Amino acid sequence: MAIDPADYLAPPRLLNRDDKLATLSIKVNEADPHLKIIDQQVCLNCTAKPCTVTCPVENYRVEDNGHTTIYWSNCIECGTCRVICPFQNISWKYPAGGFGVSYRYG
Amino acid sequence: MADRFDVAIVGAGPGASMAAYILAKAGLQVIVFERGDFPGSKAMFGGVLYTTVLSKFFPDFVGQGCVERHVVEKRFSMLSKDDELALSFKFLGFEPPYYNHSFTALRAHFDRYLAQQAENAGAMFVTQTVVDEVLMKDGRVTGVRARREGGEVEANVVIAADGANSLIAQSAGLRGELPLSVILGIKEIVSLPRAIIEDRFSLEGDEGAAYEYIGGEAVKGAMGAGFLYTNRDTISVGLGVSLSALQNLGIQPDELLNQFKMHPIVRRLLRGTTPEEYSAHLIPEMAPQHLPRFVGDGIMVIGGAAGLVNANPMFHEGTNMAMASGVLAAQTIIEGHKTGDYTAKALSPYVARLRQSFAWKDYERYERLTRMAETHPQLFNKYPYEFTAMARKLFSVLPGEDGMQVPKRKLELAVADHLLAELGLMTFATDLIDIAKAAVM
Repeated sequence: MAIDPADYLAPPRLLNRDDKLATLSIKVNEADPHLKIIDQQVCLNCTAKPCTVTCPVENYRVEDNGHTTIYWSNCIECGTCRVICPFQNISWKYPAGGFGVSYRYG
Repeated sequence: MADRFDVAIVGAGPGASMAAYILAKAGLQVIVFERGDFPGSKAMFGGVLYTTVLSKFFPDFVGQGCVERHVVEKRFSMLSKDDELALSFKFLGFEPPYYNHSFTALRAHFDRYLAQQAENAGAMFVTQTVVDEVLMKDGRVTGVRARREGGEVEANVVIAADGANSLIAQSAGLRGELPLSVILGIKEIVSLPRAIIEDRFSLEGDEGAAYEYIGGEAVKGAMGAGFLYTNRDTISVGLGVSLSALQNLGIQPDELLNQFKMHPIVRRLLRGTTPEEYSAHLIPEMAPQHLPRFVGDGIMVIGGAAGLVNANPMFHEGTNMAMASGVLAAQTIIEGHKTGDYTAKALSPYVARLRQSFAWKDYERYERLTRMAETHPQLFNKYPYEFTAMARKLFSVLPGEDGMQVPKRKLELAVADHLLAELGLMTFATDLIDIAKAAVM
């Protein structure tokens, strides 16, 4: 098969966070949020909020009212938030068997 | 399923499957728990797989579709904003089938292959099943509790092979929380026709290349590195940055990866690629005081769960250390099986053997270098930039005031001036001594 140079000389395709997530198969167990903030007050008092800049899928957001929300259904189970939280304020477990991310390449 | 086994293994990665294979071959009843849909479905690494241990047990693994390309080039590079200073080692003289025992691989394929071998040998694999904790009785681990109906499974020995986060080692009281020295690995698998990959990276057939980008613009000066590994018809492109460095950087990891991909030097290698899969995982890089105890009464810890990685960008090893620890754990259990003694003391030969093996020796040696690097951020945020700047000065071809060209002597002096002004001779000398000390001690 002839190769068309236009096919392989284009700049690499970039994906934003949402499109990166869209490359993944994540089976969500709506009934069982596997990540929870233990005490919202602890987050309100946390100035650094390192969870918001280290989660590889940007699942930690500070809302207008100052509360931190975990968009847990997009979690890819790496464990970064568990380690990075200076107050161990995240209740962290794996999603139930058969749920969560399933890599095709890995 | 039986509710009592000789050995229960939590996790079905390379270390786990290696242990399960050896134990099952020896006639022991083995159960392996995998929380994903299949072994490898939750796994991720860079990655290059080193196959010395693997090939001893599965001499025909090449050609089974479990690995991608054999590595014939290791290239180390430092990036500044527009420039690159690199050192490449190319090795074409290694013989098939294993070449230099370095193969690019994808974990969803490799882990599945190895698990299949263990299953064929008689180990029982239970997928889609999370194990949250160990069962304890009188301070001794007696089994595991899986998150499912009737999930209590008793075993003489539990092997914690549940990777970097190892909640099992933690639930058994073998370790505390992970330190911020652990590394976040993020990666994209991007596709490109194999002929283009081979042409672009100067490869023939199944040859592969492993490019490492240390500190500098690849990771915006953070303690970390970027990488490009060629697979058959995909490229693994990613970054590894320690969590402490990542939180100081303040750039979203997925955005940092995009910036790496769009670096003018890297971008040229990735032209025409389409992202196929994004992934992220922790790499359990930590100092000895943070490691778990490797054995307890009725429990052993292997692989990433045991913190066995060599995260130095020169080598980037881990899955081979996991397989080695799996082998040594299994061999120790088989010996203990004869006496029926599974106390920490009876299982401790595993620790002694591990310490005699490359897995511990390499961990110990390169972990020390990593600790040194932690206190020398200039290795990542200064040297890559200044070295490339000095190369730029040396190799600039400048029109002279005489209407001809600036003589080389003047360029050499400019490089020396740069070294003195930007790095400082004393700082540079001290850093060199620190590196040498960490390397030889």
